[in-house]
Amino acid sequence: MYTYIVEAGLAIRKHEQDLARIESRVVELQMPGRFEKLSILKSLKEIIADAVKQQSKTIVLIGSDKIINAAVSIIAEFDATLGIIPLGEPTTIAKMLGIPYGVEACEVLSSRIVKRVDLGKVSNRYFLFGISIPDSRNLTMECDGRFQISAVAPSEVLISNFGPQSDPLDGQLEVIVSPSTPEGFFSRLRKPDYSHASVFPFKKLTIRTAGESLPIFEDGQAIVKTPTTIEVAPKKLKIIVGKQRKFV
Amino acid sequence: MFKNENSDSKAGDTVIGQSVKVEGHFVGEGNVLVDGQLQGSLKTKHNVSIGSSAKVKADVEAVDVHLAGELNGNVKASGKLTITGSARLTGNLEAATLAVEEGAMISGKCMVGAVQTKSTV
Repeated sequence: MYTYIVEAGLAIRKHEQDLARIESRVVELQMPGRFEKLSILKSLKEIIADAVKQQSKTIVLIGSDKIINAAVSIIAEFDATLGIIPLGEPTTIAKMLGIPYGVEACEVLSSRIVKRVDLGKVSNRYFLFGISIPDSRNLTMECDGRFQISAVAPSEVLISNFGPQSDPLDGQLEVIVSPSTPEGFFSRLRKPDYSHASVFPFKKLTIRTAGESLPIFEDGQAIVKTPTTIEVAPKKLKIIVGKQRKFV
Repeated sequence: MFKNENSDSKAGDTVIGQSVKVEGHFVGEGNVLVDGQLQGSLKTKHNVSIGSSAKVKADVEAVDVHLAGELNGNVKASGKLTITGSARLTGNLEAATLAVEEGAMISGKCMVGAVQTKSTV
């Protein structure tokens, strides 16, 4: 049985016709289920918990990266499969999973290619795509209790599970330290060359700051502050993916 | 598995760029590309490439090692060790096969031939 959860917000209201098409198409593809729209009266956690209680094996999120990032941590605690229908704002996550926009995503849902992907865990919450620290000043990272990394130039730190240098099936996450591009033509000519990012695979990462705590962001929202520990949760989430996904 | 901006690396590889400093005992499964600073030890089941701008103070153990920068420490390659003209090695080297370019500076003992490898625990 399926439960479809629709993201709240203006972007979705513009897509009422798309929603109606999706509702018809899922019935045609023999994936009928309950449609729930998020509102202030009922939280995402309550809807998902109710769905699982009513034997919904597949939770389908209709919306942007925002609802996906919010739901992943909740769904990871249940034995349910996550499906996605991107609608409204463009989603990076759906592209990585090979899921097309709008009603075409229903075909991917019906083909039901399910992968168990890794999740990252920080401060008792899970993330699917990645988290970031825009300012790496005074930051020290300890990888798997074996070695320490520190930035010698202003950089952004990304903890990645998905991406060109990250495989969500490999049982590890990656720290990507991307130096900030210096301003000015002559600054860029000065050595050393900070144009390339550094990449470190890990299973457990401890982040500390020498001075004040720094916020860590997921999808533009601060979720936790340093010091903190980030770990991989291998094969934690079942997710329906498309053939055009960016991983094997 | 993925295309990425570091053209010599792929998912699972470690890249130590010029903007970071690493201290400690690095043990990896994939390839390691070093262009920055590393202090401690470096051991991997695959290959190591130390770029011309790298400054490494560590013992290095890998299958193939490509050295183009500065290394203070011993290097052990169960496959091929390539030392380019810009390399500066201060330490002993042990490799199954060795190739050295003109201009390379090496100060240490040299053993070339079949390399005995210890099993990794």
